[in-house]
Amino acid sequence: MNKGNAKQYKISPWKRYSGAYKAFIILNVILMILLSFVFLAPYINVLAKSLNKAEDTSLGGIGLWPRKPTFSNLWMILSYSETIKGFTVTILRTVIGSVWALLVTYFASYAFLRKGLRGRGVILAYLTVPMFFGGGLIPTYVLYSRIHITNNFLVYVLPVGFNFFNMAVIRTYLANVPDSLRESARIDGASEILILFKIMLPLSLPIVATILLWNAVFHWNDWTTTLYYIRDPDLYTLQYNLQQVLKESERIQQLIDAAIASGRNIGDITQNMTGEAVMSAQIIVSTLPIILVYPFVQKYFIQGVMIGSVKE
Amino acid sequence: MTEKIMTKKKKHKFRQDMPFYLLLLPAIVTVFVFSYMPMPGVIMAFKDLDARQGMFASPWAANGGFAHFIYVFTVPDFADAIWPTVWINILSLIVRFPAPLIFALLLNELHKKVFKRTVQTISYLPYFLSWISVTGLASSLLSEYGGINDLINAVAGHRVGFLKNPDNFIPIYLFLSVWKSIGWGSIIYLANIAAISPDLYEAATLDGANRLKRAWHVTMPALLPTAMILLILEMGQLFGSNFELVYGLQNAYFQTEVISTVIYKYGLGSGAMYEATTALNLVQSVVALTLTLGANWISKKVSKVSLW
Repeated sequence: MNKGNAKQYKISPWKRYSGAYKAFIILNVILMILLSFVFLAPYINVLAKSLNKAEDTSLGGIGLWPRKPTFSNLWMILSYSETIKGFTVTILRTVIGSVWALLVTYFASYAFLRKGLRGRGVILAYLTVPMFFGGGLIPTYVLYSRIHITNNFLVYVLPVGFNFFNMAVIRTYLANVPDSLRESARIDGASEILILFKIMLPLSLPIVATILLWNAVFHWNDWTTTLYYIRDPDLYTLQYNLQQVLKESERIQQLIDAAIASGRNIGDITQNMTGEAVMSAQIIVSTLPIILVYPFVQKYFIQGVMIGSVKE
Repeated sequence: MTEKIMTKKKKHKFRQDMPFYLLLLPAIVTVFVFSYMPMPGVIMAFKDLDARQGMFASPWAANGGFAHFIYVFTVPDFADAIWPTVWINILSLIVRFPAPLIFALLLNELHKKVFKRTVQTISYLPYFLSWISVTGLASSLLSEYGGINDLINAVAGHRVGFLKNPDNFIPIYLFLSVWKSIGWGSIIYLANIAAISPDLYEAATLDGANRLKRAWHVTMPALLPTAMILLILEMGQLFGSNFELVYGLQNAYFQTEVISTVIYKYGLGSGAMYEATTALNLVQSVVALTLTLGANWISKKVSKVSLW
C-alpha cells in the first residue's frame, strides 16, 4: 500500500502540481511543524524547568533549555521516601494489573471463538451491559468497602480485570488464526488450556503486546482509583503523589498571593521559588518512564487501534 | 430411545464446552462483583440512610422516595453543576470531535513518509501523559512566570494572570481536551483512509475530480461510518464529564463544578451525602444511557450505522 503511494509520487513530481496545490502543501507542512511544536513544547518546557536551579526558575524566562542546569530538583524528588514508595506501588500495579487484565480478557476472547457455545449470546450481553450502565461512584464505594477492597492493593488490579473493548480486539485477531490449527491439535488429544497456551498465545504475540501496553499505560497513569478508594499513604501511586504536589503548590501560591496582597512578601516568596521546581520535577519523575518508552512501542499501540477499527 | 441419544449428545457437548465456560469464568466473576454488585446500591437514592438498619432496610425518602432528586435539582451546590456540565460537553464535542478527522486528512496529504511519521509520533505524546500531569503542564506553562507569559512579556511588556481569571477555565479545558486526543484519535481515521481502494481515486480522477473533490467525495464518505460510531459513543459523555481534567484544573480561581466533581466532593470528599450524590449520579447514568441509545437508534434509521 505504502509502496504503491510512493511510486505514484515519483511519477507526479513537484513541477506538475498546480500553483494552488503547491501553496497548500507548503502551508500544510508549516502547520504540521507548528502543531508538532505545540505537542512537544509544554513537556520540554517543564523538563527544562525541572533541570534548572530552583531560585532561578521563579524569575521566568525558561524556554526549552535550562538556564542554570542542575539535577538537584530531580534528586530531591527521587530521594523522598514517598517517591520510592510511589514508584514501587506504581510498578507493582502496572505489572500485576496489566498481566492479570490480559489473562482474564484473553481467556474470555478465546472462549468466544468456540462455535455454538451454549448461552453465548446471553454471556455476551451480560458482559456488554456494564459498558453502558453502572451503579455509580457511591454504590461502588460502599460495595468496595464492604468487601474490604478499599485501602487494599487489590483495588488497583481486580476491578479492571476485564475490558470489553480489549476483548473485542483480541477476538478479532484470534478469529484470523485458521481453525484447522486448533482442530488438528484437538485430534492429537491436546486440552483446550494446552491449545490456548501452546498454540494460540504464541501465534497472537503482537496483540498480546498491544493489550499489555494499553493496560500498562492505563495503570501507570490512573490516579482516581487512589483518590476514591485509598487512604493508606503506603499505597499511593506516583500520579497520586503528583496530584498532591500540584494541589499543594497551588495552596502555597494562594498563600503567597495573599501575602503579597497584604503587603508582606519576604520569606514566603522563597517557598514559591521551590514550589515551581518541585512541581516540574515531580511531573518529570512520574511521566518520563513512559515518555522514554512510547516512541519505541507505539507501533503495537497503533496496531490495536487498526484491528479494533475493523468491524465485522 | 432417540431421547436418550439426545441427552447423551447434550451431555457430551456440555463436557466439550466445559473448558470454555471455565475460561469465561474470571471475566464473568469480575464483571459480576465489580459492575453488577454495585448496581442495587442505587436504591440509596430513594432512601433516608440509617447506618444501623443498612441500605435496604432504611426508610424510604419523602415525596414518594424522590426527595433527594428534588433536593439535587433545587439546592445550588448540586443544581449549579448541571448546566456547566452540559455546556462544557457540548462545546467539547463541537471542538474535539472533528479535530482528529481534520488532522488525519491533513496528515494524509504529507508526501514525505519520514516527515509524516515524525509528526504522527510527536502527536501521540500527549496521549501517553496522565490527565493530572497534563493539568500540571498547563498550570506551569500558564503561570505568571511561565513560558506563555514570557512570550507575552517579550512582545507586549506585561504578564497575564491566566489562571486567576475564571473566564479562562473553559478555553483551557477545551484546548487540553483537543491537545491530548487529536493525535491518537487520528489513527483510526488514517487506518480507514489506508483501506480505501486506489481504484476509487483513479475513477474519480478520470471523472475530472480535483484533489479537493476527491477528498470530499471519496475520502469523507469512507470515514463517515467510523465517525458515526465514535459520535454515538460520545453522546453518552454529553451529560458526563472529564472528572480528571476538571478536578485537576480546579484552583482558588477556577471553581467551576461539574456533575462528576460534585458527586466526588459531596459523596466521598468532605460531604458524605450518599443519598443525594447517588441520586445525581443515577440521573446522569440514565440520561447518558438514553442519549447513547437514542443516537444509536437515529443513526440506524438515517445512515444504517449502529453499535449493534
